[in-house]
Amino acid sequence: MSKIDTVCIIDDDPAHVYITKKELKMSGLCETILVYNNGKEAYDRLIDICSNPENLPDLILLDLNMPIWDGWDFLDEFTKIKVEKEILIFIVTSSIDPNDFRRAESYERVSDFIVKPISASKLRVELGKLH
Amino acid sequence: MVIDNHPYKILIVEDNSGDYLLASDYIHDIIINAELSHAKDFKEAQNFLNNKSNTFDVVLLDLSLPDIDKEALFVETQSFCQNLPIIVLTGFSDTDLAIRSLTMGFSDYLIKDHITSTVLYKSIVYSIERFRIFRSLKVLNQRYMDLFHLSPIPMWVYDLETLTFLNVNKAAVKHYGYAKDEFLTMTLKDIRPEEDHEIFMQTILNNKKQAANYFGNTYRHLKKNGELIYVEIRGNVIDFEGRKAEIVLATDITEKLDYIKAVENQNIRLKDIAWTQSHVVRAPLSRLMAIIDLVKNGDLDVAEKEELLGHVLESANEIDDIIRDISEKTKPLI
Repeated sequence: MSKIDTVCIIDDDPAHVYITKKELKMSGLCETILVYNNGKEAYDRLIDICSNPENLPDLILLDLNMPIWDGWDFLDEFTKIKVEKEILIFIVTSSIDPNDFRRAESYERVSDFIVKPISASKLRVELGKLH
Repeated sequence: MVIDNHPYKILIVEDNSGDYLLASDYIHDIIINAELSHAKDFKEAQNFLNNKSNTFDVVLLDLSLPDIDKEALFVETQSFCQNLPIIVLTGFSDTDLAIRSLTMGFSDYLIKDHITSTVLYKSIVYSIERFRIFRSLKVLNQRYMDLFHLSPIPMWVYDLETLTFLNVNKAAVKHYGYAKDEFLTMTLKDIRPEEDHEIFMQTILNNKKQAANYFGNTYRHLKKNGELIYVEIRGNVIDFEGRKAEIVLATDITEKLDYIKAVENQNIRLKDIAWTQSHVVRAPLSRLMAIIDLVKNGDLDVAEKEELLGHVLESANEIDDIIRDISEKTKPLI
């Protein structure tokens, strides 16, 4: 895959968002960071951006346990729409429940399952696996 | 002529000495080792029969005795028919009475003028053998009745048409609290709560349609004291004194069900706790791990360190709350 320009963090935990942003900035992995606090908010905003596909994120870091729409709800709805851009979706969760692993595997669009804590080096390793 | 060597012990109750001699001659013709005792009237006969050391194989009883009339003789000797075969000897004029004796438990009757060695021998052997078979059937029957009455699990027999109880065992009386006499005036509906009657009648109808010989299911029953119990019913259709009936084994599974329910509830709680462990506990923990990594490797200014410290405290408090919550959930399990 080509260079990552925009990363989208979907997570309701402000500390995690803060840490992830900091890690991404320090590593220089990306130019732009989008942050949404739950699945529903992310879905609505991303739909808006769909008219300018070049502004869509290259990578989505998706948390699972969130209010309103959780990560699964987001996946169910977002994978239904046709997007003019290849978007990587990584699930980033603190869950170590094997049921969550299995469920994530059932989504073709989900490329990776990362157990928190996340760090820039970990993210780089995971992205490297995809090459 | 056949000769029988078996030492049969025979009591002859006969007041007429000529008739007695004749009878003993006939017997000795074939049963050469026969051991005969002679009672000349009813009183002597009673003495013989009540003496436990006498073990007669068969009794020959003349109906006309000097010290008792025929009807009374029947009544008085009937009880002895339980213990040994009694053959009635009579004249022509008493044929009706002799035939009636068979319905009262006497083994056979012989018209005196028709007696020959062969006829008498055949009657004696036939009566003894038949009595022996009859007695073993009675033992068998008693054994089956014992299986019913001594079963530790409540059992009953009910009429398939009227649903009335026809017989109940001791365990049923003990478990349900109704006396046997009470049970026998009740129907199956009376041991079920009112609200279950409709579904119960439906089940009975379905069973009839299927005409199955074997029924099994779980029902709710009411004891006399109003206690509701869950019962597993197993039954078989039988013929009970000419009525179409079902014999039922009713196992109280209330405690078993309560136990299963308790285990299921515990499983739900344990699953809930397991979910909390893998999802909720790890959220603040993973946050702390990320912060430590950032502090170690990141180039942070004072404001950023201050912010991260705030998150550390927040996460620690969160973990504390979760652990208290889990310990609260575990309480009912211990």
